Amino acid sequence: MARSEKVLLDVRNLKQHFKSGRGKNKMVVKAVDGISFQIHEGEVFGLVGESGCGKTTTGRSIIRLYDPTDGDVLFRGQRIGGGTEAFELDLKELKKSLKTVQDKDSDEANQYKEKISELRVLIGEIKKDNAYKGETVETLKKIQMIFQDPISSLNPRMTVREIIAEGLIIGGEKDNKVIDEKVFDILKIVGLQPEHAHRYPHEFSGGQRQRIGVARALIVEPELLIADEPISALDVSIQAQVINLLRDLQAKLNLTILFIAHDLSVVKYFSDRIAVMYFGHIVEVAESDLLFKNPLHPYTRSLLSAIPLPDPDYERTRIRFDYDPRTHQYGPDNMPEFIEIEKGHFVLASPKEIAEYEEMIKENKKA
Amino acid sequence: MAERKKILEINDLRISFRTQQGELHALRGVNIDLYKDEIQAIVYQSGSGQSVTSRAIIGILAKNSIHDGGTINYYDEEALVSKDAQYIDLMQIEEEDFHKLRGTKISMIFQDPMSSLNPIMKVGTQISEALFLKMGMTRAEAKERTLELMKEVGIPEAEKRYYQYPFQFSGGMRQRIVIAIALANDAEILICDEPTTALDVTIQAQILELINRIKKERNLTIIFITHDLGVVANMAERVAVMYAGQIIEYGNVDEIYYDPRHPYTWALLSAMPDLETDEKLFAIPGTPPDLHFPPAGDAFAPRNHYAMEIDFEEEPPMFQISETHFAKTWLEHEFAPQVEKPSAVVRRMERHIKVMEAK
Repeated sequence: MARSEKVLLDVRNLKQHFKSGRGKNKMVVKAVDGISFQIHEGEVFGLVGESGCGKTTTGRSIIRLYDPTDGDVLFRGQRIGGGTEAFELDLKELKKSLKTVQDKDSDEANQYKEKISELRVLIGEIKKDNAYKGETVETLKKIQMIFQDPISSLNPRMTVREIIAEGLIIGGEKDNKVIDEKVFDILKIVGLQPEHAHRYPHEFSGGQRQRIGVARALIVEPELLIADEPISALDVSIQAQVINLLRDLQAKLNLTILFIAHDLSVVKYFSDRIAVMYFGHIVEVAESDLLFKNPLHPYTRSLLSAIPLPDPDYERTRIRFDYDPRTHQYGPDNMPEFIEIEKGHFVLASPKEIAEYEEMIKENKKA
Repeated sequence: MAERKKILEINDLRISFRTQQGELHALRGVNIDLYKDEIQAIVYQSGSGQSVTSRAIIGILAKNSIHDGGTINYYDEEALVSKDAQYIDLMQIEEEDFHKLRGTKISMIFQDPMSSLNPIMKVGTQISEALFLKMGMTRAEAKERTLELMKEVGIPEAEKRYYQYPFQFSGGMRQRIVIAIALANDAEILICDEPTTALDVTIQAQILELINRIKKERNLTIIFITHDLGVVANMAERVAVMYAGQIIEYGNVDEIYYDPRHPYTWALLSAMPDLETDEKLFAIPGTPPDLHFPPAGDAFAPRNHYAMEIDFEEEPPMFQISETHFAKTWLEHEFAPQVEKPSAVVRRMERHIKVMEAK
């Protein structure tokens, strides 16, 4: 697999909070709470975690199905999504402080005013980048997504040609001949027949429907494909078809893929690097072989120990252990940070734990 | 194996369904022996007839089903139904007699814990219902027993949880309630139809451990239906592989994973990656046959590149490989050519040999 160190997607301290209710009932769900990672060009980046940990939300925030609360998403260095909440809170504070200043012309007041105008410019820039026009839209086209459920993600009233061509038409393609040609080509690439273009989704089997979803994503020639649990709704043998297809396409078209899944053996098989997510945080990122050989964070180890593998010898010796977040004893003086503990191996750890993990790495190297 | 007591025996069971397209032959001669205190897994791909088998055992087949032949013999030690016979045929007995068995002897848990619980009934009532309706307990006794059951399946704060509704429980906790209901009347046989598919990996692990624990504590016999080969490797002692309404391979868990004989089992084992897989996965081509028109020969032949001419003409019999291992494929016939097994299967066998040598 072609690998390069060139960063394609850079996610910096991304936060995605959902708010509901008002006043007393106000609730904030911190689905994604400050995650950072980079995806390199041409690699498959796996994102695993249990349900409800925010992995799907991450994918959806990157492709801007949600507007991020805070943090930045950069594609080839260009911001395609950013959150303004932290800045807006700062702005409020500054305005309050300005009000308390008696003398409106004093140095203090002027300083505040300057800061406020700086922040306003910053927020304006982010909002401009967030708007669906100009360069942002052009760049967002290069990111496409395939969804978990091939039945509900295809419109039952549209033919396959209409479904696949929709992206092209929205992109401004008007010539029917060109559209037909492209649709037929892409159908062949994903392993369907050109005749299938005039059928409806219900006429296909589960695996074929997922192929239609892949074709729809690929027709606009994306550089980054976000695959959100593309195989969990499928039968075992069909899962293999879809994984093989994605792997072939990845090699043929030099795609970069963000692969979101909860099945660890599939993720291990498919990904170059893997990030493990737990309750809105990424706890560990490493190359897939390294992560499986040398997991550091207790949650990663617990997750690895929970997965049954089709191998009775292994199953007889497997001992599962539970992860208890309280064991970290994080406090104000023992805050975890996301650090690179060895080359290409990132882990969320407090200063105390860093020492522990370094010890573990040394021991593993000896063994 | 010979000393173990047989508890259930399915002989050449054939069941069809009347549908608009004609008769659908869902089960085409299924043979399963179930011994006391074992966990037997049935592995399948959707539409192989796994659910029909379990529904037949517990007597909840749909109205349009036709019993074409075969028996399900249950060895009824306590002679609940009939005093004379050694065993009773579950396909023949009256619904009234079945009431005596269902729940008290044979019980079942389903895939989706949300749809198998009543959403507008408190969970405590749902569990104790089975107790005072069947065991003749008073409500107070039933409540006490219910609390014990809830603690047994690992529900914390049972006294408080007793008065809550299913929506107040998480998926794993709901499945625990379902298990408590299934066990309320001390059933001997527990049929688990994909009990963990709707659950998360960590929760799945907990539920599997729970099932294993209560199996040991209560000497349960379990039929475990799943498509997840990892779960099977973890749980089962014996495995039946089902395809198109027939059992195509049958054996101990080691025999199925490390010495599989049927091409369909090979395909299943090489379709999913394990932690060491590196090459291209094997995808089974085509789709399962339409059981309105069951194929003449081996049902898997059209999708099988090992298929020989005879596979399309005549159905293979069950060949016996070892005392416990059976496979329904012509490849086991003495005149069959030697074929090379898929590399994923070969690698798996080699790995197992290494493990055995290390011991």
